[in-house]
Amino acid sequence: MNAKTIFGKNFSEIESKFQVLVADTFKPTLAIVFTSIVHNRAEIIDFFKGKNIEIFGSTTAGEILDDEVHEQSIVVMLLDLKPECFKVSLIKSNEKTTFEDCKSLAVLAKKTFANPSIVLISSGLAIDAEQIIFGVKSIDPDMHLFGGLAGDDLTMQSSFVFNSEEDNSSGILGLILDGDKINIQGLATSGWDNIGVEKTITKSEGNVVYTIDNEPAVDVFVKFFQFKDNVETQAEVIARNFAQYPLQLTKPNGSVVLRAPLMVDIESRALIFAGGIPEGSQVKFSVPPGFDLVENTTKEVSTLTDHIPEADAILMFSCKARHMALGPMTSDEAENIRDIWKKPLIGFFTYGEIGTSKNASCEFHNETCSMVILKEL
Amino acid sequence: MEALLNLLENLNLDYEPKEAIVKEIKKMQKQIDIAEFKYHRTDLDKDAITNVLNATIEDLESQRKVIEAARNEIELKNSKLGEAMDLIKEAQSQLIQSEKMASLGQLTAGVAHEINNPINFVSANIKPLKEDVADLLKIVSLYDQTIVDSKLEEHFLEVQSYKERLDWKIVIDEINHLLKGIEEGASRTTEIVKGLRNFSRLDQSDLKIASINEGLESTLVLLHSTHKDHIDIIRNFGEIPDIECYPGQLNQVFMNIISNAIQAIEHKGIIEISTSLLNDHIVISIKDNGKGMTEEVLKKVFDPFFTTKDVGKGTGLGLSISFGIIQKHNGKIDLKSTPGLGSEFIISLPIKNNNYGK
Repeated sequence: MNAKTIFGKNFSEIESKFQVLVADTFKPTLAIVFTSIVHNRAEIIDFFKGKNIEIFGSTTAGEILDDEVHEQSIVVMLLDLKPECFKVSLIKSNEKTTFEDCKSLAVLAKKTFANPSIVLISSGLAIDAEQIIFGVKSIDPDMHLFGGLAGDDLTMQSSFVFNSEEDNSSGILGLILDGDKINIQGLATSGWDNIGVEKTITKSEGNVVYTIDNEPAVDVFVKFFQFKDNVETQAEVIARNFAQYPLQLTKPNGSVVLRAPLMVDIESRALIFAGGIPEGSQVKFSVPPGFDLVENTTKEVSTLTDHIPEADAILMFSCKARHMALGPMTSDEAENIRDIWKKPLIGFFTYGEIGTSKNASCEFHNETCSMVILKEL
Repeated sequence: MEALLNLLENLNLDYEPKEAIVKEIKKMQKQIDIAEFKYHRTDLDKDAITNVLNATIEDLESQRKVIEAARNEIELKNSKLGEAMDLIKEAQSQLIQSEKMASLGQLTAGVAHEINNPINFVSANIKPLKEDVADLLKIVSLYDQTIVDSKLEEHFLEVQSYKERLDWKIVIDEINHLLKGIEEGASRTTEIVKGLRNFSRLDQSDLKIASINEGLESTLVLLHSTHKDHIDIIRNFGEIPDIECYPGQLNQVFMNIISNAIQAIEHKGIIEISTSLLNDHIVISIKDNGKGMTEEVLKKVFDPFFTTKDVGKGTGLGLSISFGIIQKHNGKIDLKSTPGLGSEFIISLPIKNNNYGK
């Protein structure tokens, strides 16, 4: 399988660079497109559809291509995967049907391939992304599942996923791959450090946390981090500030996940997290790690070479909060990881990641870098 | 950097070296960006960590205060509970003590009643019996005189011989001695019965006019067997009026104090009991020359459940109950004691007691 990448500040750049890439014998069948919310997605869809290339697309909170990170751009990875090795499916969904919709996607995957893997991106800012995991696992607990939540440049208005047929602000987009033809491996790494004492989630419903230690959740965050901005009028303040200080949650199975608040429900002073936090959970605040994070992530991701020594393409779903915590070093992280396999890398900054951390099963995360490595067998 | 790149653009350099310089400039710029970012990020994170830690400390401090307040409340409740428990135990012991005393009162009243009738026969019969025996001896004496006067000795030789064998004079002395003994025994028994009846008045529920001297005497009667061999009781009972009181309860006080005094004397000793009148009060002093008490014991002696006796030998309630009884009589109880020399309880009681228990 060949993978080629295109970067464009706008769509016309993509268009012209595409012409150069396909001038030779390269015949892409799948375009992975990660774009800022500012670009016209209909134009992108029409273009690739016109070329008979399947699209697996998402809006972002920043784009990653090879060793560079970008904002308000479009990045594309073209793959000449055999059409019988993959299937792209977009299921319209909403916060209440996430579980069932992901279950349907897993059923479709099982029907399509004997040994399927799914790369999944979900749009919708208020969904409980943990339901994605539960839905897929309810069909096959061992199915390989990776991906993330679409972004919208931190405007917190609407994120989108799209394929050749549609563009949806509330949808589940799956790239179903044939595990017997493509070796797909992944790893999610975090590095955030917990701080302070354990606190109890005293009232929550799914991913909406109303009270922590019997105090309104928003007030607890404001008190602990001394935020001066007006959270009541600036939704993006939450995403920019609170998301960097997620709650660390130890799940009953012992796995540790981070849950970042994305939005505020001012009326109830509740925080809406990207993933569920059950009532009664014990949580701790966490803070961004030291600047050795890049080296540590690289070291951890390189362990994947035991399972997949060679790669054709690399996908990176990296939390937007990591971008904010690493700043200009974020590109170093992408560069280092790309250099492990020395193959094209595409990714975007997400509002949440799906992946498997070391010695754990697949979980929904925040503040992680979730890597997916593909190699055609 | 922009200016530097423009400058480079204007230099007449070949493509490759120019690109190499641009690359190096960009690399340097990135290092500067990273350094600046690290500086700001470190500041930001330092603030965040400081804020979290300060808020955590505040939280912990307020939690500590809540826990401390809760602990204080629990301690207060525990202490009140302890006091309540002590009161309950004291009340329970007092009840037991009262029951015991009431039972003792009933018993003594019963015994006194049962003995009183037969001893009345004895007391009533002893005087006529003494007169009858005197009459009989007079008759025998008259017979003896008539025999001598009528010179009939030879007809009564056998009687005379029998009288000599019996040692008739001794028989007469013995009869008088026995009669005196019976009289004295009956008298003492009557005294004991009187004492028992006096003591048994403790279950009476109304204030009575009673004699303190009689109460002390009847208590001594009941305790007689515990001290008769080694303790001399000196009674300095003064001329005191009867007082308004609950005699049974006061007898209980006297019994507790005198019992303690008896137990404080290990070998030979003296207990001196005095009563006197002081204005409108009577004063009772019970003084022993026993082992006395230390300062430490003196401080606690009226505390409930305080005892210097071996486990199981004393409830530690006798003196606390006594203290309560004297208080209810609007009286006062004082104690002086010196280790090795003895102790003295001084009780003062009002003659009239219109405010009993207030």
